[in-house]
Amino acid sequence: MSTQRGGAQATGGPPSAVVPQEFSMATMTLAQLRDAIHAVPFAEGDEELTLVNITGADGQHSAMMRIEHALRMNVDGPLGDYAFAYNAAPDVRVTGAVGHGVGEGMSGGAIRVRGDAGHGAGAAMTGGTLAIYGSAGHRCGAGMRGGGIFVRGDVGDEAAVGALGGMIVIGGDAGQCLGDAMNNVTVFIRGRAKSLAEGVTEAPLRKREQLRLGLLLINASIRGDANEFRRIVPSAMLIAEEAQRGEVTPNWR
Amino acid sequence: MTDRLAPLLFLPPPINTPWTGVADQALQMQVSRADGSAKTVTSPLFWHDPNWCEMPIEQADSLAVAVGRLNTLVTAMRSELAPPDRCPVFHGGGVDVSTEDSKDEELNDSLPQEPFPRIVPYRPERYGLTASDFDHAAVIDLRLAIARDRSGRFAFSPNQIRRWEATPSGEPLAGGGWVPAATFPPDVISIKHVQRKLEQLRILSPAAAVFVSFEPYRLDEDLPRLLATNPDGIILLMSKMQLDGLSLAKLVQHARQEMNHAGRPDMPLWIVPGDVKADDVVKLIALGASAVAIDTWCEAVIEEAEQATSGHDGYQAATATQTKAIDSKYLRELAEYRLRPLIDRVLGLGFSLSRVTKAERLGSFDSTWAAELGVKQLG
Repeated sequence: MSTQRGGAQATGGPPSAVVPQEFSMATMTLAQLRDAIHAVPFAEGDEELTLVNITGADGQHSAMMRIEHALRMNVDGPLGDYAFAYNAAPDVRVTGAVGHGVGEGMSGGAIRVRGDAGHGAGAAMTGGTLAIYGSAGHRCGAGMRGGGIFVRGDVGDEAAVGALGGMIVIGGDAGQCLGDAMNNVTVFIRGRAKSLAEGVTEAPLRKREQLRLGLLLINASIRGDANEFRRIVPSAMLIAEEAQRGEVTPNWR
Repeated sequence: MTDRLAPLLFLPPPINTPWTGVADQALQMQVSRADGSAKTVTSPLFWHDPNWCEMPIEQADSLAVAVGRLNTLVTAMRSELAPPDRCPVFHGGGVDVSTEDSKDEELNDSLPQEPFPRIVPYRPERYGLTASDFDHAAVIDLRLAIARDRSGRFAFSPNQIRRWEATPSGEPLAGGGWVPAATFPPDVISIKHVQRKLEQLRILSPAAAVFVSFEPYRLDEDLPRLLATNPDGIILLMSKMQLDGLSLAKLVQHARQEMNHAGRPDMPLWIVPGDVKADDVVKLIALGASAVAIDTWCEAVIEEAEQATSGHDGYQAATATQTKAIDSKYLRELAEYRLRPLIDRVLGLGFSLSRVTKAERLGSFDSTWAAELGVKQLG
């Protein structure tokens, strides 16, 4: 699935004014939809992204994967598994639930889901922002290497398992074994976790993290005060942090 | 290299067989994708799990190219063969920076302009995997087996993580420690749902065949369930099972029989057997395998290259460009010298198989082997 960038730009024509586009998943195949999205011309300037409205979403799997086009996409309706996997640039808003593996491997852009997400949300993502305004299933943020995940509601068991980098903000509660085999990752949680994984501990929320989290909450449109959250990190990371030598001998496992 | 299947013998055609020719491409195979399209794989050999992080990144790229030139499918991600800002030569990166300034026309002329056929490892963790790995892949290998490193841990080494994530040595991503390996993809909720993952991978890599690999400790349970998910092929990972020759042969034969019973006689069955000789490779093919991994052969090339490189102090003192160019040429010649005879032996024996009916291809003087495998009892 090689990506061609630029739509009208790619064909040599200058982009016209930003005209919202609309595509229906009810009448297009996934491949047709993806090609149509990549053919949408870029907006002129950086202030406003071209808007693409997607209708006809009805639980389709593997939808809108590997979109590398910087535009804004509004998707009306639920989607199935692996929606928006390996996306790199678009700012996506979904009104409806999504299945397992939403945003898998995404490297940039943003995905905002106004609904619940299945298991493995944001698995192996390396960048960008995944915001879920409902709850997420088990293994949220598994193997993530960068970027940020925001879940307004609860997450299931083993959130952040095997994650090597990035940040997860949980507005509600977490299931069992939060942070198992987690490295270089910070989890902020407002509610309670059924259990923390071995080698993971609660750490004080420092002033700079309060500020950072506050800004992130605003960006993700999640209401709340940063002071309501607690910070969960690998124990060894906390020890290194307290010894103020984390950058010198950062062996956290 | 051990001769694990030595009690099995190749049988020539019966003495009254008429003189006939043989097609020259007997070991080519067609891999049918679920969408009905077919993909031709021109060699029954592949390098399944190269430990690229043990080599300097430029040498890893050069060795992948060297083995790829021998018509062998090689497993590699871009992150294993080049830094993030560069496309590996193996992936079609064109003129290698190592030869741009070189006047070695022979090497420049022979550099590939197209990506080599390759296998993309889709591990449960997906460390090191990027979206561009899906481009031009020949096979996507959905691994449903927990990785074990050389020490025996279910884990990835700090070197492995550093290579995959391209982190500076002073700022290691995992704090410089071991990272536990995953057992099953975190976004797949059951084996039944593997089918949906396979469908996703087919969309991400429209030209690739999507295989499932697993360790057949519980073959009778796992194989039927995985066949039901409709993969394009099966890879049995047996290199870490430490099987004796007869058990290896029986397992391969049994897997093929199970696939036949499931109505998938033409589905590729690829084997990662561990240490085997060229003759063993063809015996496994005669028992039902479609392709066999030659990891130990390629690892021997790496070891020899390391030994030779460590003696190249004079070259190391040269400029970086010169050093890389020498390595590329040296690795290509070394791979050709060490692997070509083995590959030719596999192809030669493979062609000869087609002269004999399937039931008469193998025999054994050992009554246990003959009885267990149902091959002709000789003597």
